[in-house]
Amino acid sequence: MKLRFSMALAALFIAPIWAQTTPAFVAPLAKESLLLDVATTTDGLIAVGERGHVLLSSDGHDWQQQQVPVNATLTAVTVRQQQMWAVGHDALIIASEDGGRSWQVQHYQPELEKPLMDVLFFDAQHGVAIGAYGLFLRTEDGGASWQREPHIELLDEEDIEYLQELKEEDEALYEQELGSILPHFNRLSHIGNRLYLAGEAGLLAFSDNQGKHWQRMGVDYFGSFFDISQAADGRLLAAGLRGNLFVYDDLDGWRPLATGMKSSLNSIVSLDNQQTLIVGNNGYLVWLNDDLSLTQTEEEKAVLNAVGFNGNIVAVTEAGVRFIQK
Amino acid sequence: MTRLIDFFELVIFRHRAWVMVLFGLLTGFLLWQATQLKLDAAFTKNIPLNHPYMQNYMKHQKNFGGANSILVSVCGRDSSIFNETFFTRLKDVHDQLFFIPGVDRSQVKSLYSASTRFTEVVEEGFSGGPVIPADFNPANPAGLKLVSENIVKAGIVGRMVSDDFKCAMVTAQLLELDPQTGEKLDTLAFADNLEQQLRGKFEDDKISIHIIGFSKMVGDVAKGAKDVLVFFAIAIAITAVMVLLFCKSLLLTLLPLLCSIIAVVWQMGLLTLLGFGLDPMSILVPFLVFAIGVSHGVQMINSVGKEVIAGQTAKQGAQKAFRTLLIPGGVALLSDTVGFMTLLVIDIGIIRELAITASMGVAVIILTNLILLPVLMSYVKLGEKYKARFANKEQRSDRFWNYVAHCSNAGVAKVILAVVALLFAFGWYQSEQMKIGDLHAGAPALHEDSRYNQDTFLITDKYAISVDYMSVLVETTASACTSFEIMNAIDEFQWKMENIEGVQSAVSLASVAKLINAGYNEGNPKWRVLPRNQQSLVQDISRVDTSSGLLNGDCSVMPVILFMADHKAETINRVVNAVKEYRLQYEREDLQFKLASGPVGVMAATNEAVSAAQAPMMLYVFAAVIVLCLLSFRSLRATLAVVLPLYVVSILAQALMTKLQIGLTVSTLPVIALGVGIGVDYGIYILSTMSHKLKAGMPVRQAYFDALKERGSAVLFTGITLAIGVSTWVFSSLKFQMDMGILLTFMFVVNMLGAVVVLPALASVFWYKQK
Repeated sequence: MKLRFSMALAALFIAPIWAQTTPAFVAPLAKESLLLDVATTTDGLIAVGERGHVLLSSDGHDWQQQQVPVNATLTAVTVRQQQMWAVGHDALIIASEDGGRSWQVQHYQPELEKPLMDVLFFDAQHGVAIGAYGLFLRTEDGGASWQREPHIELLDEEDIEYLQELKEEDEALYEQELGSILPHFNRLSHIGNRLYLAGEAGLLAFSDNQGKHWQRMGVDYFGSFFDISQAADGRLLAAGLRGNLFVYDDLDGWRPLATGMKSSLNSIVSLDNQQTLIVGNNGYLVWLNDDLSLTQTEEEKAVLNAVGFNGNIVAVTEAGVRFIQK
Repeated sequence: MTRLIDFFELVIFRHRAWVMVLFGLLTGFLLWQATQLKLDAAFTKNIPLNHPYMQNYMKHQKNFGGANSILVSVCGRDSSIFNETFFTRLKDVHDQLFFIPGVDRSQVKSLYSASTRFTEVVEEGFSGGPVIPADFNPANPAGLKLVSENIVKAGIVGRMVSDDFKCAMVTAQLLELDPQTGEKLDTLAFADNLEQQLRGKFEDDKISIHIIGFSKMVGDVAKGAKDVLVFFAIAIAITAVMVLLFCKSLLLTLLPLLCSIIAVVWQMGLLTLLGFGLDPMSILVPFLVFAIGVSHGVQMINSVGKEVIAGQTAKQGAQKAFRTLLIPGGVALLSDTVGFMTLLVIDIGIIRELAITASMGVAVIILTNLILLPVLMSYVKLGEKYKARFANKEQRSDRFWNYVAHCSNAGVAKVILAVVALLFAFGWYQSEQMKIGDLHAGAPALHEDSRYNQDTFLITDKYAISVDYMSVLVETTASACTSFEIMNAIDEFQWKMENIEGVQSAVSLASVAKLINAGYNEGNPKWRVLPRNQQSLVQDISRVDTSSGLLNGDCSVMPVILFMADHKAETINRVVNAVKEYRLQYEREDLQFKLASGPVGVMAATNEAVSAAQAPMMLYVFAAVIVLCLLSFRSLRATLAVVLPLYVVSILAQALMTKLQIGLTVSTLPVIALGVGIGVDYGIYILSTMSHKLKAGMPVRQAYFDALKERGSAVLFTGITLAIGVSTWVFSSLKFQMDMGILLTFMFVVNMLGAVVVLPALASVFWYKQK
């Protein structure tokens, strides 16, 4: 009895720790840690990754880790001149107004047990953040407040009907189901006025009203997609699990491209020399111009994303920042 | 006192035959015992078992295995592993290792063990299987190709297969006790089996076999230690020639050698009788006992010879020598014994064994060389021919001693003391920078170009394996691995440690769980986190078996394994201090970071034990020497004159260690105690003659000159003989013997100089009135 009581007491004391946030530890090895996204800024580059690591660099070689109030793993970053947003696990959204030097928490909900996977801003005020189990957040005030938006239109007919029945019968269960029935949302792309979405279980979709309503795109694949983006030559590409790469054209819809390997493709990077690079796990690099070629980095570490920078390609990998070459 | 000596003299020299019979019988018995003496090495003897780190290590040893494992790398000499010859050989090695007694059969791992599996992420989740399928046929190229793909998928490149695909690893854990017979593991026999049954059978011009691990290292050390016999023979030969030159009589040469060998026999026989074996680390001790025996024996023949030349018979001379040498010789040997015994305060098995072995050996010399030797000598007939050889020598040596005696002139003394003070200051400064622990890569007991160290370098080079790792044992509550909060705390600790300079990488259940969590999420690195959701966390952790060594049965203990860049003491200290600092801030009742296991954890404990033992050891050895000097001289001045040079020399020896990059380790720590214990002999012999004369009011210079005439040649001779004996160790195939040889040679020679040069200078200051 006494034991139970003390355990309950312990639980009481442990629980608040979740709400407490630990600032990211400024570590000598942050540059060599698991980094998950990279973007160009007006002054150079920004990279984000595990343990709340945010790093800035003016040349891609020297990186300075910035003070961040939370040490949750950051999965994506987006840049609008001096304004920046980064999202990550524990449904964390942090923002900077000064080019990444100081960061404030805009959204943090560890009890959701869901990570955010991508963030995108249409202008200084309007933006969306997406994540696991169909987590979708929207802001109209530059991130001061974020509202959840369920997008059940991305489910198939049967699931939608089931949810609607549930909503009438049991509101609580409906909320619970809604939090887990949707696939993971992995990546957003804004091309022209159209917003694209890539996600789990063959999810590819587009929206013409900044993501308020979505329409699925048919594709003959049921595995996960990790990116949907425009190639250097303007074609739409989708990349996903086990080396799956698809190209879209209006006539035939999504058509597979043989990559010749079976590792996940994480990001599509459009380089300026009419060449597109698709980076993946195990150091696989798919180079796409008129034809397709495959290379692998020597250390075979997962490459998460890359950007063209001053004529070089700067990539983030599971072992930190790397310059890569064809 | 004089009465007691009279009594002894009477008893012994009246019953000379009986004395010899008694010694003969004892020697016969102990010789038979000595033939039973075994080389004996055990892992636990090398570590400070009562150090808190080692207590933690022993406590958790059952769950996490110890540092006592064996790694066998099978390498293709010119080809990659993907061919029939290689795989057949690898299987042979695996099977053979499995059957070697002492191996924990459940823990033999290689590509061929069933637990070596691959998993890959597919659309439906995970899929996987054994890396080498059941129907694998190495003759079939398709089979080889499949295995090569599976190896990559299994993520074992760098662990079970070398980075360049030329080698594959077979690993095993050793059992300290045989589960069937309950007998202790015979490390040396095991090492021999590895050499014969693995390397001997399976290495050829196509395949090379590289074996590392504590037991193999000890085996190689033992093999190297056997070379000592050669040095022993060389030392005996050199010593014999030296003694012959000194005493100019074959018979007089043989007697002290015989008595010293008898001392060694007794010592080894007694070891067996007391149930000890001879550890490779202390194999040099018999050697040392022999050298000390000879040096005291030389004092004896010197004394007898002088009496005979002065016209006495051999028996009279022997009796006189016995009388005059029993006290100084006894005190000197007693202080050696006590000096060695001070090593007992160090709580490391092999140092204690060394203390027992050495002190016993020296104590035995009191009997063989102070009693048996004069008895034997009393039978010797030294004719006119012998005396004639020394006819003119007296005058020549007097001139030399007269010259040396200048050291006790006030003016010269001041210069000498000034130089000594300068040397001391320099030595002090240098000795402060003496490093603790092993300073070089590989096994420090062996030379860098030894096969064992070459194998170590090959394996650490070709694999992502470090033999230098330390485990921090995180002790928490049962089922703690299902708590996000605890796992996250472990993960944060690990990351902070990874950022300490000298830590190359780290692994723990937390970091593995993160990888598995990504695996469950389609291998997406963005999910490489600890899930807050308890079911997910449990799912991740359930894929990690206790055999991984990352958790115990109820996951209340989870080690964080830190792979280090090297095992230099500074690196170890930096990391250990970082752990201590971290736990000051973050340790709680239910989350304790315990130091330490793994080879570097053992080194950390040993380094701490060694550096903690150094000051008390010096204190005790000097206290013992001071007390014995005070007792025998009954004069504070005389005691200071003996001890001060000794102290300066021990500081200079530490400075030499700094200069030669010899770290303070289990094998070098005892050297200073040995050096002081033996070094004091010279001072005692010289001052025992001087102190009577000084007490009688004789001027210092005269007293010193007389002492030199009486003992000087024997002291010089002893110092040189001892030094030559130990200096042969420099050619040893074992690095620690080389280090010990250098240091002991230095201490013997410089202590002798201290007694001949510094002691009279001090005396002239202390007895300044007696000019």
